[in-house]
This record gives sequence, structure tokens and C-alpha cells, in this order.
Amino acid sequence: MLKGAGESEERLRLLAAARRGDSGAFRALFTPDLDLAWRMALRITGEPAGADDALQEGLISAYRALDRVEPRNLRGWFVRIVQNAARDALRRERRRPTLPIRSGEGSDGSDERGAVAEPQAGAASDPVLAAERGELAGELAAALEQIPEERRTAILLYDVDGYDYAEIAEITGCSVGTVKSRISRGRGELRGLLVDLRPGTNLEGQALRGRDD
Amino acid sequence: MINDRRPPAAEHADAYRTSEPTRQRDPFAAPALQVALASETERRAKHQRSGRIGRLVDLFISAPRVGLASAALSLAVLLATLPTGGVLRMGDGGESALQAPLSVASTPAAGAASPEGSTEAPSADEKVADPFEAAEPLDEAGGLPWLTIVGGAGILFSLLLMERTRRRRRA
Repeated sequence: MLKGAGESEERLRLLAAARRGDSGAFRALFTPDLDLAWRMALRITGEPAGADDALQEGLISAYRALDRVEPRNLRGWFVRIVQNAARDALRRERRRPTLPIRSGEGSDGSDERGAVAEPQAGAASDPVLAAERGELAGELAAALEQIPEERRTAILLYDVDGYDYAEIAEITGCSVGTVKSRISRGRGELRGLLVDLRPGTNLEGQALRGRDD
Repeated sequence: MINDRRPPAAEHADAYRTSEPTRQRDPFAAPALQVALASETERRAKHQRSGRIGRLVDLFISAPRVGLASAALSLAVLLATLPTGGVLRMGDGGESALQAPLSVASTPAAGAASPEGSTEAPSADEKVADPFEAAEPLDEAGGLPWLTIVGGAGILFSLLLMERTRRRRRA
């Protein structure tokens, strides 16, 4: 994971080569950011196929705009391009609605955009654990759907992906103070929403505080 | 609900993390992306071969929008003031030769214009310069030459801004 503001010499060299038309350098330049950009797109489109398309469109746009980018924050720049591609795809999809293919109804309380994948192999060995995790993930997805996108993004980057404040500021293109504020407000909203989803439980003061406390 | 125990909220994040799909496809393996990158590379190479005009077009395409807007505005100001020309007051009474360069410089008579203090009788040549007299009231109002200067300075500033941005991006 690349850290901090500014770019390494290696990345600058790759950028210069990519600008000269070296597609191999372009690939090497953005390969470290593909997973992050894909996840960010997935959280907008809600489906892997949509995230794949957004990532591909984002790469094409990035290649076309290489001459205009300032080599300070390539990761944030690229992620935002992919996010915009995902939003555009989502808008197009809303204008031209299609019938979604569902693998199962959202019995865990998540709708189709907020749905998360089926539990993966590690959890599959214990069906009870897998089901419980699926339920928790569904609850969080449903709650996240109800908070503004910028807060949702900040919380997911911090609490789920494990980035620190400075990295999130770099990725989202805003200040560290704004990131902290978004996370704090988003958590406050999530607390209430998770309590609503689990009546009878007391999540006050607990929601997504594991990293700070 | 599976059970009644209270889950610590970090478990929500853990569960979300483990159940979120991961990227399976390599986007660079997609033929559509390869074709798009190849065509963009070809377009760029063609553009570079197009020489000075291509570089000029590149400069404008990659210029910051603020710089372009500023240059356009300055050019408009300059063009609005130049045809009528103006006299730049250099001091109390002195007048410089900074006068409507487009029309004056292109007139042969302009080169032969008598210097200040000339006692010669007005010639037919001076009638060529009559249009500048129409500009004098504006000049006396103190607006016209300064607008020209501002326009010129604005263009210079805009070009510097564009060049600076270009160099910074190339750095």
C-alpha cells in the first residue's frame, strides 16, 4: 500500500513512461490501486460486474487524461475517476432499469445495492458462524445504505479497509479534519441505525469503535 | 436473528470485510481495454507527429480552465481597445509613441510622423491619424490605455500560468 502525499520516484518514472505511450508502464503505475478502486466502485454499483465495468472505464479515462494529471496524488485521482465512472453507470442504469438477477432475497435486511457477497470459504466450515457473519454484514450494509455517501465511504475506508486518516484524506481528496468529521458523524448515525435494526440490544457507544478505543 | 448475544460493533466491520466480494478479473486482460489503450496510444503518437500546431493544440487542451478564461477575457479587452488606439501619458505632458500599434504601425505615414515639438505645418499625413483624435476623449478620461495595458498584462499572466501548470504537471 502506498502511503502519504507525494509520489515515489518509481511512480513518477512510470508516469513519464506512460505519458509517452508505454502501456506496460501505465499498467504498472495503477496495478497497486486496482483493488481499492474496484472496492470503491463496488460500494457504489453494488455488484461486481458493475465494479468491473467502472474499473475498466476508469482506466481508459485515466489513460486519456494522463497528460493533465498533477503527479501529487495519483491514487486519489485514479480512485475518484473510477468512482465517477461507477456513478455514471449507476445513473445510466437508473434511467434504463433492468430486472436484477437475484441469488436470493434479502432476508438479512439488506437490499440489493447494499447486499454483500455470500459468506466465503473460511466461514463456510462453520455454518452457524457463517450465518451469523452474514447477518452482521447485512445489518451493517443496510445501515450504511441510509447514511450519505461521503460518510459511508469514510467509515468503510477506516473501519473496514483499515486506512488511516491521512490515507483516507488522500484517497477522497479532502482534508484530514473533514475525514475525521465524516467518520464521527457517520458513526453516530450508524449507532442509531444499528440499534433500530437490533431492537433490544445496546450498541450505544460501541458501534465501530474498535480501532480507536 | 441467530442469537441474542450483543455483538461488539467491530464484529460488524469484520463480518462486512470477510463477506465483501473481492476483485476476480484483471481489467488489463479485457480486449476492450487493450483496444482502447492501443487506439489512444496511436492517437497520441499521431498528435505528437503533428509538430508545432499539435503542441499548440496540446497546450490549450491541457491548459487550466482558469488560465484559458483569463486569456480569453484579456484578449477581448485588448481587442476592444486596440482598434481605436490610445495615447499613454508618461508624465505631466509627455506622450509616448505607444499608440494604436495595429493601425499606426501599418501606415507608412506613421514612421514619418513628426516628433513632438515639430513646427512644420500639418500635412496630409496627419489626416491619416485623425481616428486617434477620436480616441483622445477616452484617453483623457484615463481609461483606454490602461485597459490596453491590463489586457496585455492579462494575456502575459495567463500564458505564464499555463506554462507554469504545464511544467508542474511535467515535473
